Amino acid sequence: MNIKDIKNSFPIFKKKINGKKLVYLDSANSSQKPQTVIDSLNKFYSEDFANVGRGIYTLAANASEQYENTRQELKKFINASDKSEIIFTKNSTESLNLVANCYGAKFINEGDEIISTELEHHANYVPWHFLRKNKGAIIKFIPIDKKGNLKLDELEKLITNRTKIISLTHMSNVTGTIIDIKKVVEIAKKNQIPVCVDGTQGAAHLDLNLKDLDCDFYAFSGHKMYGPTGVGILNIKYKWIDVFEPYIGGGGMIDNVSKDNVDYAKGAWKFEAGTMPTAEIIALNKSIEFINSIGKKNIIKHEADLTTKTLKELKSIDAVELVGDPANRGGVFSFNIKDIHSHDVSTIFDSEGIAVRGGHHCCQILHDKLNLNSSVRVSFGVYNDENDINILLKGIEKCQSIFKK
Amino acid sequence: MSNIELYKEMILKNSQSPLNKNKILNCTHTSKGNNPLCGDSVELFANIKDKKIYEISFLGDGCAISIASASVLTQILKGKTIKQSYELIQMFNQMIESNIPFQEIKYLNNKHFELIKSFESISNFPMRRKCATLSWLTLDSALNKKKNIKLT
Repeated sequence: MNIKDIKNSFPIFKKKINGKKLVYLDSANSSQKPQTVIDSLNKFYSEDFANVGRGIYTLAANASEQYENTRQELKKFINASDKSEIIFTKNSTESLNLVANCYGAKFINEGDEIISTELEHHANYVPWHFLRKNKGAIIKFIPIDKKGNLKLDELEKLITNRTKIISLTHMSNVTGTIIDIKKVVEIAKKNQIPVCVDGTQGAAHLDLNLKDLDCDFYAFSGHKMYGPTGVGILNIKYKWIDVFEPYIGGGGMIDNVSKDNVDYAKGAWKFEAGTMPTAEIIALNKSIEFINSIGKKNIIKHEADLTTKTLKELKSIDAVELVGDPANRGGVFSFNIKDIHSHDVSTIFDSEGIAVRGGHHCCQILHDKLNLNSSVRVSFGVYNDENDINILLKGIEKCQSIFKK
Repeated sequence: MSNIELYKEMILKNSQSPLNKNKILNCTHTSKGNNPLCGDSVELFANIKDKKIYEISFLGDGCAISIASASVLTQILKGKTIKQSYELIQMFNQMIESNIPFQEIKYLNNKHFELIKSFESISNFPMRRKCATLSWLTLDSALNKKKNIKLT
């Protein structure tokens, strides 16, 4: 793969930030968009626009076909069992809320237990907290060690006959820790507990094979995989579609409506009420195309190489303290520079054109556990190169020189 | 304007060696403030007698701007009347939030005036404004006997 060509396919890299070349190291937050994705949005609105659904005129039929094409391509992209198990939502957060809501309504009562981890993003904690608050459920956490590895051995000890669901991330958005989901599912199956996976970081940065993972729910978003904002995805085992009540009601999710009854649509469509982010879903197809054109395996290797190189450099700087150092990791890591707050680091980095995230990255439980107020996060995308690492290292030197006592 | 302009010497000095960073036990007025967006937190302590702040301190965890701002606040507000304090809080906030230059006032000595002026450029960085105003707004709520504030 040629990084220069890849970078050139993202128009944002032509832009100067504070007079400097953009060094974008915040792909775990959201990735930048290739021209093909941007063109697709433009093309749909300029040439192809109509609402999806029941219109039988040419434009409407074409729009519906393109919309469903994305679902079909997503099915291949994640190796799902069936396209009717792929629900479009607003974002990963909504996908996780859908699971917590629909599953919680039917199966979680006072004293029932939800198992999660100390690595979770707030999106995979707050929806479960609602069940704790409203229904008296209990949330238990699989702990992590100092390096940010999940102590998966603890899982079986946490499971009781009140355990109703295990919900955990595929890859931490702070430490980059990758969780062995297959092992979790294996343990869960023995105990007949469904598994919900927050795959927000996994979708773009890990090789996905949902048939093989075999979890009940897998949530992710389009905007982290070089696609537009406004599209989330929930892969859901079909048996739950029939069991769950709809999450929101309205047009599109019905089969038949009368004064005294409503029959819901079958499959994923049961959960897609109202006009969906049509242009965005159609453009998401282009981002899948983009990823496939480079090859997921190549992307993973490229990001792993950059991560290994950067971590080696960072470990040689005395003032840099890494937030964990997990054994199995993706292209995300966080750190602090001694005696300099992450927001000050982010501000100084910005003056060099470096975009990173400072703060707790929506993972306060993880930061509390590691006794940190905040950290600076670096996350790689397919467009990053070694020059970005060099500029990052210079940025660290600059922070140190400004804050030298 | 370069971002580095934020880190003026006086701000760096006050963030690295803040003054009055301690807790006053059994004080008459106290309040906690936090900025949920970035996790900065500050706790203000003040002893007020005869409508005058005669003792003031803070504890806090946050970026250089937020710590320096709290340190500067305690230096300046010590000995001020409640009325003067409200006035200074308002002027500081207007300087940061609305870019209104801080005017010289009789009861503020030159050194304190310069300390406040060192924060002026922060108004050019919208993402960092709340770092500067957090402790001042927390003092405001302490004076009003409100226990906690949250900036949004």
